[in-house]
Order: sequence, then C-alpha cells, then structure tokens
Amino acid sequence: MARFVALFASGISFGAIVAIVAAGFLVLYKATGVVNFAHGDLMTAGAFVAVWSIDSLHLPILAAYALALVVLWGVGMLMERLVYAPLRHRSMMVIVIGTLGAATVIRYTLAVWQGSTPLQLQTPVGTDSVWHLLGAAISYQRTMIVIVAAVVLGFLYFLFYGTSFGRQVRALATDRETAQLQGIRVRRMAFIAFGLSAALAALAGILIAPLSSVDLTLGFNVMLTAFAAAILGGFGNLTGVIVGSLIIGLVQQLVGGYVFLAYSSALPFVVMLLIMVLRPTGLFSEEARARL
Amino acid sequence: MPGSEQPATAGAQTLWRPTLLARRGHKDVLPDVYRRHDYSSISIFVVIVLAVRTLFVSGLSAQDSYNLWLIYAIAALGFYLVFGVAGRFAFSQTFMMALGAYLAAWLSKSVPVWQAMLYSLAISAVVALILAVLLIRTNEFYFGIATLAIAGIGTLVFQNWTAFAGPSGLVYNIPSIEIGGFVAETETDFFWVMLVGVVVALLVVSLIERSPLRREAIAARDAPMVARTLGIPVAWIQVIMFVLGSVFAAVAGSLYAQWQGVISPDTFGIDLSIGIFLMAILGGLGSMWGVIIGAAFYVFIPQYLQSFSQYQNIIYGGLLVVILILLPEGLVGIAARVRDARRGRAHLTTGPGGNGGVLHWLAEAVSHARSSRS
Repeated sequence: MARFVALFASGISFGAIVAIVAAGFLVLYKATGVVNFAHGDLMTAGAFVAVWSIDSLHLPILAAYALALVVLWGVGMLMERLVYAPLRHRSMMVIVIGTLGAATVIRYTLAVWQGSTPLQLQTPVGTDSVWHLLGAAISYQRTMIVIVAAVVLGFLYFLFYGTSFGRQVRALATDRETAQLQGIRVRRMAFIAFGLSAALAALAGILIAPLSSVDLTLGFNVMLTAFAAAILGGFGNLTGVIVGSLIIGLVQQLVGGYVFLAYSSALPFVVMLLIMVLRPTGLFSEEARARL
Repeated sequence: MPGSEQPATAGAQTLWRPTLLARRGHKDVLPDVYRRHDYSSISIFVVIVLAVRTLFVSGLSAQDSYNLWLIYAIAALGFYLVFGVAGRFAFSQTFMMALGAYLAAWLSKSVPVWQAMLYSLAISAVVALILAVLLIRTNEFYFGIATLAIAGIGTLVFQNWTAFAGPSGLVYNIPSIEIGGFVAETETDFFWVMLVGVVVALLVVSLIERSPLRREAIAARDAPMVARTLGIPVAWIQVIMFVLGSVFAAVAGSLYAQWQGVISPDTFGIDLSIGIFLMAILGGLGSMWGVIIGAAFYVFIPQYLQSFSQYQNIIYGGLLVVILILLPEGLVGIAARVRDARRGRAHLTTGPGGNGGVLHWLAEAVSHARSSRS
C-alpha cells in the first residue's frame, strides 16, 4: 500500500510537471499554430539560469526562480523575433525545422556557458524533507510541484477563458484569417505567446530540476512526454491536456514502478504511439483538426 | 510566401502534363525524366570523388572524415527519399541507422559478416514497414513526433537490453566486412566499400527519380487531395518511400558499425538527427545531389573551424535557421521567380516547403545566365 501511495504521489506530481510543459505547448500552438521543438531546451535553460542565479549571483532562491522566468520570457520573445517572425509565412514544416535549429543553439549555448557537468538546483522546501501519508514518504518538493501547477493552470484557465487575451488566442486557434480580419494583432499575439510559453517551460524546468540534477538533457524527455500528453488530450483544450498529463504521469510511475522498471521513461512514448495508431485525433478532441 | 498551396498545385499539374502528352502519341516528345542521363552524372561523381581523394586527402584523419562523408551521404540519400521526395517529417533516420548497426553487430556473432549485413537490412526493412503501416494515418507533426518517440524508445532499448546490445548499449569488437576473400581492414579498404555503397544508393535513387514513383510521391506530398483524385495511392507511396529511405539508413548504420568496430547509442543521437536535417536543408531537396553536398558540408566544414569546435553545434543550429530564412525564399526564390516570370509560367517550388538549397540556387543561376544570353 505504501509503495502504491508513493508511486501514485510521484505519478501525480510528474503529471503536474508534464501538464505545465504541455500547457506551454498549447499556448503557443493555439496562438501561432507552431509546435515548438525547442520547448524542452527552454526548460533546461530555465533550470540552468536558476542554478546560475543562486550560485553566481547569490540571489535568494525565490528571487533566482523569478529571474529565470523573466530571462526565459525574454529568450522566448527573442526566439519569436529571430526564428518565427522571418518564417511565419512559410509552411509549418519549415517553421518546425527552424525551432529545431533554435533548440540546438540553446542547448549548446548552455553547454558552452555552464559545461556538461550535472548541477544541483536548490529549492525553498529542501530536497530531502518529506511528510508521510499512509506510510509512504512524500517529499515536500513533489507537494509543492502539485500546488504550483494547480495555481498556474488555474491562472491559465482564467487567462484562456476570462480575459481578452484568451479570447484572442482562441479566435486565432479557430480561424487565423478571420481573426486577423477582425483586427486581432497577430504578430503581437505571437510575440506574447512565445514569451509566455517559454516562461512556462522554464517554470517546469525549475520545478523538476531539484528532483534529479540539472544537465543538458533535462528537458528533452519531458518535452516528448508532454507531446504524448498533449496528443492524448487531443492537442485542443486545456482540460484535455491536463487529464492527458495526469494519465501519462500515473501510467509512467505505476506501470513503470511495478512492471517495466528499466523502460519506465519509454512508457509515455508507447502510450502516445498507441493513441496515434488507434485514434490519431486524441482521446478528448472536440474539434476536427485538419491542420495537424 | 502567402498561399504556399498555390505553387504546389501548379507543381502537380506541371508534373503530370508530360505523361499525358506522351500518352497522346507524341512519342518524340519524351518527358524530361526519361531524357535524364543519370549514369553519366554518377560516373562523373565517382571520378570527382577519386580525384579529390588522390589530390587532397592524405593522412588518417582526412581519410576518416572522407569515409564518414560517404556513410552520411548514404543515410542522407535515404532521408532525401523520405523527407525530400515523400515529404514525411521523420526523425527516425538515425534510429534506423542504429538499428542497422546493432543488428549487424549482434548477428555477426553467429553468422558471417556479409550475411549479418543482409539479415540486418532485411529486419530493418520489416521494422520500417511495420512502423510506417502503423503510422499510416498520421501526418506532418504527428508523424514527426511519433518517429521522435520511436527514436527515444529505440535509444532506451539499446541502452537497457544487455543481451542484445551489450552494457549501456556499448558494443566493441564488431568484425570487419568480409566479402569473398576481401577483408576490409584499412581506411582505404573501407573507402572502396563505402564508395560502392554510395554508388549503389545513387543508382537506386536515380532509378526512382526517373520512375513514376517520384512524380507520384511529389504529387502526394504537395497536393494529396489532387493526387488522390488522380488515383495515386498516397499513403502507400509514403510507406514505400519510408521503407526505402530507412533501408538506406540501415545500410549506413551497419557499414558504420563494421568500419568503426564500436558503437554506442550516442553515435546515433539526436544531434545526428538534426545534422541530417541540416544536410538535407543546406544541400537542397531539389535533387539527390543536394544531400551529397550537404553531407560533405556537415563533415568537412568543422575541420576548417577547429578553433571554433566548441561552438560547432551552435553554428549548425544557427545555420539551419539562417538557411531556412535566406536560401529558399530569399536568393533562390528571387532567382527562380525572375526566371519563371520571364518565361511566363508559375513559380515551381522544389522540395517540401519550397526548399531548393544551394544546389538548386546554382542551377537556377546557370539557367538564368543561359536564358539571358540567348
């Protein structure tokens, strides 16, 4: 029982991280139609900036986290200027290859800047402190992840469904041309969406980093897992993506924890491939997405 | 370019017109593809490769990268079929290289090397076929993400399946190629093996290029709906091209394993995936020669940038973006547009997303110069 509770808890917390990453995808995808392959490396970059702010700038932990979010917001906007803006009238395939190029640049810039030795990111709740539930030890970090994710996703719900920004994003996702004709400033929306998406990636990177170590591959697998979650959720709406993320997190931790230990990080991919083979539109899709 | 569908459809029409002409009895008006002399250009390529080798390649490390170029060229030619011709956004090329390499290494423990290679290719082809059929309904990003996931699963399997791939996916002492009495031992021996490999690959691609398969694949890529109404089996053409391209990758992988004698999952990692994209985009997807030049660039340019070696991957990534921005719709687009406007026909894009690359740009420049002279 204790083992089940522990695995369940880590499944939920991993799902929460994946949900933040996948929500970052979704913001960008809805506003611009771009699937950003640099998202994982933006995560890594967020964690690296946080580590650097603590170790080199000697900032307090929370200030370092905030700085990392701000810096990554800027990196996202820079990416919009340098990669997306010049390519925005080209085919989606070209833009996606452009984001691949950006991913390479980000990753190896980090490598040159910080080297490839794994680093440790400090956390305000301490890496080793735990509380107990039904005999299972649950770390405060994982608890914090779930709380932060709930707050951030709640904020995103408000942003999507309660503000003018959200209405504009949804209008863009429904029909770009019509939205543009209605006077939505497409370029400015793309600019903001890239920043917001990158900041969400950085947040996920910062949250997951204390659980292991910060190295160059930190973000990549999580990004693929988030792809899996987004596809499971139909790549369309926030609820689908969150449910998809939790399912993926639980599958990975429970099935991986009990049956396939060595292959647990491959399980999300397997789930994703199954979804693609059996129901390519995702489990919770509302709209017909001829665009993908 | 607003409305990228428009030239694509125009492309499909232009591609189909010659066949219709020929069918109507204009026997003397053979379509372009049947008048191509690919054998002579492949011969010229071989001569150039040999000449450059004799004149410039000396020393072990130069020979090493010359061989590496030929191996990457085989894999990139496969990618040209998958991505350039069929327009499938595949990340699986390096996975198929790894599969070919690991299978060849594992099988050569029990059977002679040449048999191990053949079996490895056959198994890789079957794996590619299964993957392609499973993913037959996915398109564009879904296919890209799916193949990325397959590559991820593959890496994990190679790392963890000790009985098949050795501890952490490291395999040592892979036996060298042995055909008849010929055992490849030195860099020179391997050069000949790889040259044969590249020439065979070029021959296969050139045969595809002049067969209806290429035209149908391009039509399926640029205008799937139109292609379907013309009776082209769009999905199956993409499956065929994917399997063919994957087999090329498996050949390259197994050659690599036997040449180096040691492989690890990192040899065929995500960096090489992006590298293959770079080869294709840089060289241009307008013809099979583009990827050859792209592969040469990918292998040789870093040698001249030794002092920047730590920035190598940053430069590659930046270059990928810069080429995407500048070459297809910049210089190439302008050159091609100017020429097409002069001849009063629609601008025809080459490759998915209209990426012609360096080679296409050169061709355009030459034909532009010719047409302005006459």
